[in-house]
Amino acid sequence: MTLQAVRPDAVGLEPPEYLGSAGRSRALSIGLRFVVPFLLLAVWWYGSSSGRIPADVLASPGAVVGALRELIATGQLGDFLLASGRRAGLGVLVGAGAGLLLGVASGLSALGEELIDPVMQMKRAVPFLALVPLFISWFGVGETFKIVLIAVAATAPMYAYTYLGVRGVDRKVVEAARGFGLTGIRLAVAVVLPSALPNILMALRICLSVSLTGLIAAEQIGATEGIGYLVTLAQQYYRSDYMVLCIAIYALLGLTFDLLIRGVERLAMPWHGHVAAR
Amino acid sequence: MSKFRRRALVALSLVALSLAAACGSSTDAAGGRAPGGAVLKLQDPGNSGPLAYAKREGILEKRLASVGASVEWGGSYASFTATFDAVRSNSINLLQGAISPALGYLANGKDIKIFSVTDSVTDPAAPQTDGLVVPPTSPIKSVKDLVGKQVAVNKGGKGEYLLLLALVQAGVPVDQVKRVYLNPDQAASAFATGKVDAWWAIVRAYPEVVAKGARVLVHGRDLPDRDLTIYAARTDLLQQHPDAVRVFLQVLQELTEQSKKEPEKFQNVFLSQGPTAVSGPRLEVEIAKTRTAAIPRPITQADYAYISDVAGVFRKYGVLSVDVNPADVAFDLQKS
Amino acid sequence: MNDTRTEAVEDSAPNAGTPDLNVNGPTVNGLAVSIRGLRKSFGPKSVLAGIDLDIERGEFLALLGPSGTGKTTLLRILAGLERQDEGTVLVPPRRTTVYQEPRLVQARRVLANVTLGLPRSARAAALRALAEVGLEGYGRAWPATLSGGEAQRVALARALVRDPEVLLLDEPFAALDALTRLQMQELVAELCARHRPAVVLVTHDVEEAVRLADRVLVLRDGEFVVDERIDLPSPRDRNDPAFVAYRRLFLSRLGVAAAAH
Repeated sequence: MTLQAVRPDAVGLEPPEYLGSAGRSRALSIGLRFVVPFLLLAVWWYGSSSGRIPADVLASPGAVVGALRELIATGQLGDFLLASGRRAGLGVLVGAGAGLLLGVASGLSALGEELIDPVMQMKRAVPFLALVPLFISWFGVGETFKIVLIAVAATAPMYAYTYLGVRGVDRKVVEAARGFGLTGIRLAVAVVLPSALPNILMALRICLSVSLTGLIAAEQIGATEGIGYLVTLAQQYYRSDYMVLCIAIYALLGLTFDLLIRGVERLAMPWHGHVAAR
Repeated sequence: MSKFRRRALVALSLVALSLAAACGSSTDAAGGRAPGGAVLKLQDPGNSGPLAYAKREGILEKRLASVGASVEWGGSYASFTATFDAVRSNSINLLQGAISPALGYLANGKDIKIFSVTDSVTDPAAPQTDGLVVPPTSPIKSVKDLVGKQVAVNKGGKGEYLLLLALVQAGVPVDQVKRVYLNPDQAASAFATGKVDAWWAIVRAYPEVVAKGARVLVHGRDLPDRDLTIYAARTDLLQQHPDAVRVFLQVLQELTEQSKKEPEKFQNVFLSQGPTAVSGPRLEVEIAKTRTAAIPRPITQADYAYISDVAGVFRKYGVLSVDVNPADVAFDLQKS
Repeated sequence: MNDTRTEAVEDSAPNAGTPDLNVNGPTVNGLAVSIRGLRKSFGPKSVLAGIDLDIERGEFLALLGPSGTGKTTLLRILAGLERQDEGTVLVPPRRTTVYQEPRLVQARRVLANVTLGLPRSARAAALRALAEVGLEGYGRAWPATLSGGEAQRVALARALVRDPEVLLLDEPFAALDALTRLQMQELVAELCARHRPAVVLVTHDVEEAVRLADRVLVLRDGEFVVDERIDLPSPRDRNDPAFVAYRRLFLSRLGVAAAAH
């Protein structure tokens, strides 16, 4: 096929400006994700080694790696992560589970909303840290206290997002499903929860990061292990290398949670890529 | 329908199980308790000192068994307030402290009493354990220069008590110096970044800040300091099981004696590395402190004056809003 | 030619005295779209296999083809929503698209939807455009309160107010009921006759194509198998034997032999 020339009266015409989003290679996308963290690391490393950042302002990467080595050598890192992971896991399981149930009930039925929503809005306004002394007197300072504290902290975001998600489910689809005889739990399981899944997973992300805050608060009290306890130790013993290490651990946990939820999203919402804006 | 019911039930029972497991594990921690006997519930003793040594060697467990009592080692607490919350909820029933920070709690409740005091160290060879510090370049040369300045102290604690004493001794009106209430770890960063002009650093914070070049204006030892290290316990424990508390104090006395002779054995008891481990010059200071440590003794009526004196200072300058009667907050182990 | 277009834009400014957008505008000539050697494939499937196409200014072109043949892809390339793999595509700067669904911003009122992305001075023109599509007084309504046909009229007004040189219509009547569809076809025919943009109408409906278009193309297997000028006077009568003949021709070229007889 020989290409015809463009007609001479094609005056003032131009190639269309591309309005779509640029498709990028996966490798480039993954690489770009690391750019800013590595840049920060580089600035930190350069600042410390050149003496521009004094050690008492921010411990050097070397000192922090040393602290990490010590923690690994004493076996505390594994123990601490395990202890905290168990507390956070149980707390989020209980708290997010409760938030999910309440959110669905409140989102689906008018009666549920009337009964649950005002209480949850009040609860949301109470900072969970304000409940610490009360909880100590109710549950002591053992594991129950720590798990309850995290659970209470995790309930509110899960409730709010689930409620929003359930309210956002297409009314027409719910109407149709009711027409097919689905009610109550079956309606929730078959139609409402799958449709509200993007919100629920977003809530899970928030629950997990809230659980880290909860861990710091809970493990300041009556703990002998855990990453929140490590923060307390670092503060009490004025070990700035351990403080920075704690921040690094938290940052890595944040990244891990994100990857985890992304994985779940991929598995649980294969349809989502076809409808999301990006 | 029944299938969904069952699923929901399974999910619910899983949640319930995990809760039960969580509750169960907290009672597991109390394992080895003698039936009916006294249980001493202690804070985590950390990585150094007689109690850490006792925990590692199981000394308290052995000795308390002779009076049918047992010991339960708990966790650590980020603040004195949290520790007292734990005492209130009976998660801890015996703790170490000082008169000054305990007064606020002793004044407001009858559930805790002091049963032992430890005299202040007077040995000039002993390292200083606290001091009013200013940044190395600060124009403040003496306590008198503090007028109009901000000083960080722990609220109702030793730092505030010593600052009040120092101001009185230097003849500075107390209300002309602004006391900023900060926990030691917060005070450390506020001091390092110049947000406060001075700071009464105590315990672990003191050697830390001196190592960073801070200048010391005055030490607690230079003042008529009447504040003592104390051991306190829940009143119910003291009344029902004074024998167990007596054994505890005895073990503590013996181990303190031993630690004065072999101070090295009482450092880095559990871990030789990690955040709680000390080394180098810091280890030497700790060894020197241990060598010169005073030995705890049961509180007697003669010691009531210490409590009244500290309480008097706090009362006078509005830190305490009620009077404290020493007889109400002390428990004489010998009498009972 | 360029000069006249510029004038038209200025005329459409609200402060100009002329009452409407480029009504009975100058007879336009020259090219509106020029495509040479356009290729696009999705994976192994080639949907546009090197097509050439010229569309005159003011020409109404209907694009027929079975589902999945790349009609919509061609339209999206013209709109800049998709990129070609190969070939030259030239279009005028002012292009707008009306989709199968109205695609209105539910959270903004009808008038704000029409003036979306335009300066405040476009309000008067937007109100005129609304009047032109028969929605006078609907400016403050919310999109959710409109019927399907009304919402699609708003989408049409939103396209018109931009005074497009090329109007891209992606099956704009497919979701409407039969009666509304007829009314909308009439409205589009009338508006296009008045404003004379070049139009690319993607449709499945052969009758719609014959009714509205000056020229009908059938796309099959990535190539144009039919390029036919419709020489019928307006308004067109679907029972006119010539109309029927066109319909039969296109249906047979689309592979619907039975229906063609």
